[in-house]
Amino acid sequence: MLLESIKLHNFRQYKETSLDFAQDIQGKNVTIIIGENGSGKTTFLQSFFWCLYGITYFKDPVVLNKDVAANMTPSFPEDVFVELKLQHGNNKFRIKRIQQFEKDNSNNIRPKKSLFEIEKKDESGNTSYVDATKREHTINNILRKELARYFFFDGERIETMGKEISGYKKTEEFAEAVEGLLGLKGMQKALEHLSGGTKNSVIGKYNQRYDVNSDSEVKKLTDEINDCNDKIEAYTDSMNEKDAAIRKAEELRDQKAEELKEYESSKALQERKEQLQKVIKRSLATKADAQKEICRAFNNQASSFFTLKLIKDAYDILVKLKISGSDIPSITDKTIQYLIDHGECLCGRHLPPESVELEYIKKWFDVLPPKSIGNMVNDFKMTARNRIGSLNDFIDVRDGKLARISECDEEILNAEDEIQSTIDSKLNGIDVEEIVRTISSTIAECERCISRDNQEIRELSEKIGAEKAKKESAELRLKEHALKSKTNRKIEIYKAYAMRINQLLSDKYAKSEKEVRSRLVDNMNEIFSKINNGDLSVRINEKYQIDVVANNVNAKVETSEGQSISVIFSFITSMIKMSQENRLSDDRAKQELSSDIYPLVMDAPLSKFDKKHIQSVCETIPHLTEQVVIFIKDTDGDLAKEYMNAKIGKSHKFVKISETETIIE
Amino acid sequence: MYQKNDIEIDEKKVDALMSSIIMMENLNLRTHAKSDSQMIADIQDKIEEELQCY
Repeated sequence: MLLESIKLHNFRQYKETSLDFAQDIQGKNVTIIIGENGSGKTTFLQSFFWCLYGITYFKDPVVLNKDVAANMTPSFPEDVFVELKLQHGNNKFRIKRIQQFEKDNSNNIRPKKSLFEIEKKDESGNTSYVDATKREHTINNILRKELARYFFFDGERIETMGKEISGYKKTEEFAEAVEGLLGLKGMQKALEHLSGGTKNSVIGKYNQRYDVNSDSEVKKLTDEINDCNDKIEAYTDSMNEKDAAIRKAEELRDQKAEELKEYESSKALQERKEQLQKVIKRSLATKADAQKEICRAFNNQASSFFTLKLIKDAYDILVKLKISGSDIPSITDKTIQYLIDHGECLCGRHLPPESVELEYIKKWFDVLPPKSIGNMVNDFKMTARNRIGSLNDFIDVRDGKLARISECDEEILNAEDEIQSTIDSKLNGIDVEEIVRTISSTIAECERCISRDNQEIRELSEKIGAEKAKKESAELRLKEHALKSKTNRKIEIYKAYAMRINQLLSDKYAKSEKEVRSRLVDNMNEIFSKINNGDLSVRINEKYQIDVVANNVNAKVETSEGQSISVIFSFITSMIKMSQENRLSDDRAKQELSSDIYPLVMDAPLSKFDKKHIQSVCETIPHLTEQVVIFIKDTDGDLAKEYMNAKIGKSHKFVKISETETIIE
Repeated sequence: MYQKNDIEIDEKKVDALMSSIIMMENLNLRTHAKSDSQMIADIQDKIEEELQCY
């Protein structure tokens, strides 16, 4: 695929813009587009994706120009379109995607009908329109969406791909990219066509072509073989389904295991939170107990507490007074009056009126309460001392409990503070325990599925083996009979050749894949070492998992963001370079590994490198493929022009008129 | 010569056939002109054409 031109109408900040791309005339294959930050370089790159696949990575799905949108009135729709002209194989294509937008009465812009058209012009000059049902297929034939990101890439995309590489994610996609770009796909398709299906393959077709009328045994054996083929096909389909399910389960398991790792730190935080919550709960309980004890003690001592001041004051006064203690304890004037009224003393002596005995006993009135209060005072003093003593105990208890409450308050405050400032801000309110439980359960379920499907695959494999043995035996017997008939003998020979080609091609594919991977590693390391001063190198295993190795210790290292970007940059550039080498090689083996021509469209590739490496990047890029389109920051523009001058075929400049409009000079 | 089931197979022919089949597949990957069924038929034709002498 080579890009010829692009036209944008009302697409974001591009109201009416078109530009042509350098076509590798006289070796000038670079189109350079310079623009200041915010002028819309990334938006322009996105217009390719939108045109080909109908997708963009903008947060706002409305791609209509904001000025146009603001001036729209309801019932008067406006169109956005991107038209891309390109060459693919021997055909020329004009691909146009149109999206209509309408403003409703609430001033909201809503998408209306959309249109997608592909015009194809073959090498004879015949023009036709691709049917609606075949459009997606046609686009994928030109450039599959999965591969597109290797040719149209922005800085952000490089970063994500770098992370995917270091995280072993999407390794199958990388493997497929290598197969597609480095010519292995051709061999893969040949193998598929030779023996991919028991019926729909060259060998399968020969099996069905025997002349069964000449010999009844041939018919019987052919039927037997066909029956075996049907069973093998069914078992293989089932096995493939199980295999796909296993891969899916493994992918999910690995993804969940990664998630689990991310939650491990959160789990520790959650545990700390729970620990602190227990501290808070315990402190609150202790505090409540202390408060209850204070209340209980206070309830018992309430009257004493409130009268303490009065009692203390009275006690202080009474202590200083000298009150006689001549009264009889617990005897009052009422006792004396009782004796007088009854006319008899306690000792039994009569107390007649005006007698000496009566007068004597009356003298007690002067020394007994209420006239004399010595004993009462003493009683009061004793009670007061007791009360003051017990109140002092209460105050000690209260002060002790208040100190404990204060300690509890401090513990609660500290724990709450740690939860709020250190833990909750990181946990964002998620229930880690629950999430970890769910993830672990998903992982366990995946493991169960993998184990079950693996067992079923083993059983299916045994069944296939049995059918294959049966088929082989039938084929041997068939051959004996087939060779007797001239027609069937021919078929037998064709089939034998097809099988031999299949066998050798299968070996060749395995060998080529290994060689391609080894060349890819060499090429990547050549580019990678230039960027990283030879301190690091790259390794790729058979699963296309990429590791970065520190040369001095020969061990895998975790890459920084910059290094990850270097990895993906060297991966993409190496693949494209190798694809081009294969195409231009005189070596037949390499020519067999050649693939389509693709342009390399890069958004601000230089901004990811420091000044030291810009020159080597600029000198590398134009030689990678037949067509290169580079969007570049105005600050890097002069350097890029200086280093790539001989290769620049077209140069454009984005001029930002306003936030909503950019034009091309 | 390689022998399979009493049939002698000319390895030079196998090699030539294998190369031309890969080329055909690569061409089709570029042009997308032929379907899988057509490609299978073309490979059969190619094999039979190469082995006409039999």
